[in-house]
Amino acid sequence: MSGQSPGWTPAARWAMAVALLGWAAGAAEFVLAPHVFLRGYLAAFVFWCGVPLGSGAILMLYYLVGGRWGQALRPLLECGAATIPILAILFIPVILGLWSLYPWADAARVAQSEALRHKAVYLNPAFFIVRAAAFFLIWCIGAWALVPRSRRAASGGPAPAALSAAGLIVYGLTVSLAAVDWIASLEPVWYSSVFGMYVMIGQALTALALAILGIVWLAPRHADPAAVVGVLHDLGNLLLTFVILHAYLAYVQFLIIWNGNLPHQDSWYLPRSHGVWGAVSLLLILIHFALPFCALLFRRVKRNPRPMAAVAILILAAQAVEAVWMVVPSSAGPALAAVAPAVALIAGIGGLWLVLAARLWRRRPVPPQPVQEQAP
Amino acid sequence: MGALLGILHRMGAHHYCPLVPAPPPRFVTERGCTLHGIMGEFDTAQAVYAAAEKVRDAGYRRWDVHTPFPIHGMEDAMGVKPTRLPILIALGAFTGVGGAYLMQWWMGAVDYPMVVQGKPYAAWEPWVPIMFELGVLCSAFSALLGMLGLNGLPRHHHPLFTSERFLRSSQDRFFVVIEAEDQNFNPQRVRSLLESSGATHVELVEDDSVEVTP
Repeated sequence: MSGQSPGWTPAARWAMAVALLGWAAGAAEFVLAPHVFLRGYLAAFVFWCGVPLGSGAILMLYYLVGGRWGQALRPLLECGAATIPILAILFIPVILGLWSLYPWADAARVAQSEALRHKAVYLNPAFFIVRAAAFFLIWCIGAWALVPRSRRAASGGPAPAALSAAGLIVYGLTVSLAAVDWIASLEPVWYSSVFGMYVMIGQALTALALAILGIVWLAPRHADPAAVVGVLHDLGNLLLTFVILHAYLAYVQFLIIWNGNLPHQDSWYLPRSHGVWGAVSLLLILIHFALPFCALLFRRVKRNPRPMAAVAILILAAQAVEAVWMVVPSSAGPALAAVAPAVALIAGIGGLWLVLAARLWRRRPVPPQPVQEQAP
Repeated sequence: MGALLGILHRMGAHHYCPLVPAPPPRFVTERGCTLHGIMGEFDTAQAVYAAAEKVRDAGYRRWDVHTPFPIHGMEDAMGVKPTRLPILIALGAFTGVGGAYLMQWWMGAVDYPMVVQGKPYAAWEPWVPIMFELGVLCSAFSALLGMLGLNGLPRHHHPLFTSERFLRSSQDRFFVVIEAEDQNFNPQRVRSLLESSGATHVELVEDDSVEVTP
């Protein structure tokens, strides 16, 4: 790959084509129905947030706990975390469409609702934008601090353990607040204290699934295919842990709200418990928990690149469906019409992200080869 | 009864359960003790690895390799089949999940129905955590007990400990032991197989824990 210095690899060309198609379809939707487009756009944005933020979180987790799984994952996660600034640019349409997206940003609706008037101290457009700017600033600083130190650690430098410990705390606080701002406040009177954690584990799943796809894709170029099998087994176990944790948090939130049975808490589940979105809820139980859980119990799945890639793609698809499911039905949203721009822009942002990540991947320093295990 | 005893003997139950009578000895040494097996001693990991492949290819089933440290790839050299433990664990998990469901259904909807917060008696939603917990508990128990059972543990003594030379298996020697309970066991053939595989020393191991009728 080193010969084509200004050029485009075939993968990058495909990614760019998908990106252009996605953005063109999204632009068409924007002209036809801006309100519908914005919901779809927000869903796509929420899904792709998971990759850079989740990559950074898993990277910091690795520097705190160590292990063989992280050595193979590290360069991919560094690339993922380094793409955080692109999120800030992709957030601009959300700010421009604030008045259409969020009920609390619509003066007419705020005037009608006493609850929204009480919440206006926190949920108002100016403070929302300031908070979002602060999140992006903190995340960019975090990525700029973490990624070069991580690269130095790979070539023998000290592991950034203290930075990772502090970073994970800041990550937890900022992502919780951002999740409430960007997703939960679509349903402004609803609240759930586990929501931030739930979104964080979702981000870790997205990032890990994408990194597993990266490892499977790079496997033929690896010096020792047997080592890849061992790493895939570890990553499969880690993925299983995140799948269980994600399902656990989702269920805990549901169970507590079901038990309480109070109107302002039920408002999240009522539109998602019948009709098409009710069916999507059941589909999510299947593709986000039951199928990957059962598949990842088997050694034969975890130790083979193809089934692992299939599970990773399933998880990514489930995360995309979940992003749409979280964003679109809230406060009598534009229902299924928003699915089309969401799909178009998940592809559009994804293509753009892949192009950027591929450039970062080619610019990374080549790490020293690990010492091979001796067989008799 | 005989078939059941045969299964128990094949599981090695007579080694650790006093209620199971020991099978009649198939081979007896000159001293009149039951023969446990024949042990071959090897100097290097490479030698024992090659010997394990030969014993595997000769079709023996009841045999083992003892080494001071784990040898990479020894499972393949020995032809060890994947463990049946996952089946036991799955059975434990299904028992736990199903048992938790039935228990809560019976208590909440049949034995003592009580209105709580206006919810239906048989509302399944609050049962899920208990089903999960009991599923995990029962799989953990079946994993631990199943592992011990399949390994024939706990047992207080093993015939190999009577051999002075065998003690070096925790220091610098490698051993292949073919047990007399193997259906293909023939002392002459086992001895020549071990010797031809490069064993530096071959000896009989007696089972001194079994009383022998003269």
